[in-house]
Amino acid sequence: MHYFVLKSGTELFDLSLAYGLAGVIQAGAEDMDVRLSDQGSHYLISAPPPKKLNAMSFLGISTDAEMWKGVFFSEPPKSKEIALGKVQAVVSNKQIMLELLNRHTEPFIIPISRSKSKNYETLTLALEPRAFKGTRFPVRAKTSYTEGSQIYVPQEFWAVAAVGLMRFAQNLTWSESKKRTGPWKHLTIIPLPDTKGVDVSNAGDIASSVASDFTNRASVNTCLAHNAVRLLIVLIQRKTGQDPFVSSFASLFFSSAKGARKYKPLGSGCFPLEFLNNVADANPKIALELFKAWDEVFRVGTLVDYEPLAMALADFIARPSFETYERYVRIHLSTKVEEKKWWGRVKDLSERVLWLNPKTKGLTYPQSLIEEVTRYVNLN
Amino acid sequence: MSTSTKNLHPVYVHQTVRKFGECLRKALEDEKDYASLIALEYAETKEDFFDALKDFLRRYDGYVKKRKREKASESAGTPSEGQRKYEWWKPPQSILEELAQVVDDYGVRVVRTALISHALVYWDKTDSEKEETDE
Repeated sequence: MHYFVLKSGTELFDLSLAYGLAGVIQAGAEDMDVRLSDQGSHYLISAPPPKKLNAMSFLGISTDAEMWKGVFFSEPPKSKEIALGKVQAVVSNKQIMLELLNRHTEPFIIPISRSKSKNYETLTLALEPRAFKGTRFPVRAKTSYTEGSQIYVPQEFWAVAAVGLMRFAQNLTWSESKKRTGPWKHLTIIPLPDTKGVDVSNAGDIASSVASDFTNRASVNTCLAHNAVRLLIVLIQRKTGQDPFVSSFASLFFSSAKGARKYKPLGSGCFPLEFLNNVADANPKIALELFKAWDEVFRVGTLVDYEPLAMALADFIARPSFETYERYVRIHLSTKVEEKKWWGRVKDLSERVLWLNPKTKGLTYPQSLIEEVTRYVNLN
Repeated sequence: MSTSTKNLHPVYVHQTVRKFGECLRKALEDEKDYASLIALEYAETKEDFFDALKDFLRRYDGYVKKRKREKASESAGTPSEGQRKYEWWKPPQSILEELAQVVDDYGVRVVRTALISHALVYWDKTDSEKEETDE
């Protein structure tokens, strides 16, 4: 049985809705195989036939405020509670969910409205960064400035997308000031499935095991690159552990926001996983060692004054070229030369540093790893 | 060697580059020869690059002699295993000519990056030095 989520142009909302819908089906399908893949114009969910779906019990949603913090991060505290109540009411309603699933058996354009109607909800910054400022109309004849109108979507789509974001996305919030009093930066990361697809039953586990560890937050790029490396470590470990279906992801979709009292969108886009996937496919054993070493480089790159190391490595992982590799190895060597300066500080961060080897001082590579990396450094 | 190769791998595994990279790694780790590293990093033309390499080899020759002297003084006493020093392999003068061929084929930046990559490799000192002494 196939379910379709046609892409509307609001990328994060579309992806969250696809994940949410797949999660709803998976929760009711009693551990059946539910897969989500990106087919270009739409997301495709492959799931068991409808007889089993009719008997399913719908998602029991967690009411833990901590888990929902990232989904409604841009909302004031009271609105968060109201929003969570609405999500619960919609998703636990079997009839609404079955109607929704029935509609998605064929591709259709999700109705997006510019005016508030009954059973429509506002697309917030967390669910879609480009909806934050609303849509604007041509104002040729008008002399006054208009803010544009909010974007509204039917409540059931909005609620399922919120569930998708809660279960499958990683939300990070941190302060850039030393006192940690703001302004705050928020980053939402959700892995984009490729054409082969992801197994929805373990996609949530993979996302949570990636999210449970420390992430370099020197910049949005280092945060994404560190997440990408840890995601691949988890995937390779599952693959070598004989996981029957290992999910494959094409990229990490991200959306970032910044604000003191009220958040404003910073940007969004895709962090490519092509290079890491190629290394992992070519030689999983070497790739696992290499990615663990890079995980450690990102940890050293959290120390004050050594952020350029993490930034250079993140650039190389995102765009593997001779220029980015040359910059990375030069910064890496200068950091290694100064190891006496930072080595003592790394020991203070012992809870963060898991792999750093005291014998090798961490920042040296085994010969085979560097040799493998040079295969991907194109000279043309 | 043709320049049609698309990636850094052939340069990195080239025997001359590998030997030279190992010398750079030893000089940086044991002798803290940062002057040579800086000179290599700032060399833009082939001439500057080879001037920097010649200076490096001259210094490296000094390190080799120093270790020879240390070994001679050790053999007079009975040092423990942890203090034992091994001789370093001394690159022949022809290594510069061989490297010049690689630089002609690939350019200064590519060869320098391959050398720096070798300097990042983990080095088990006792094993490699023992091997070199055996040679």
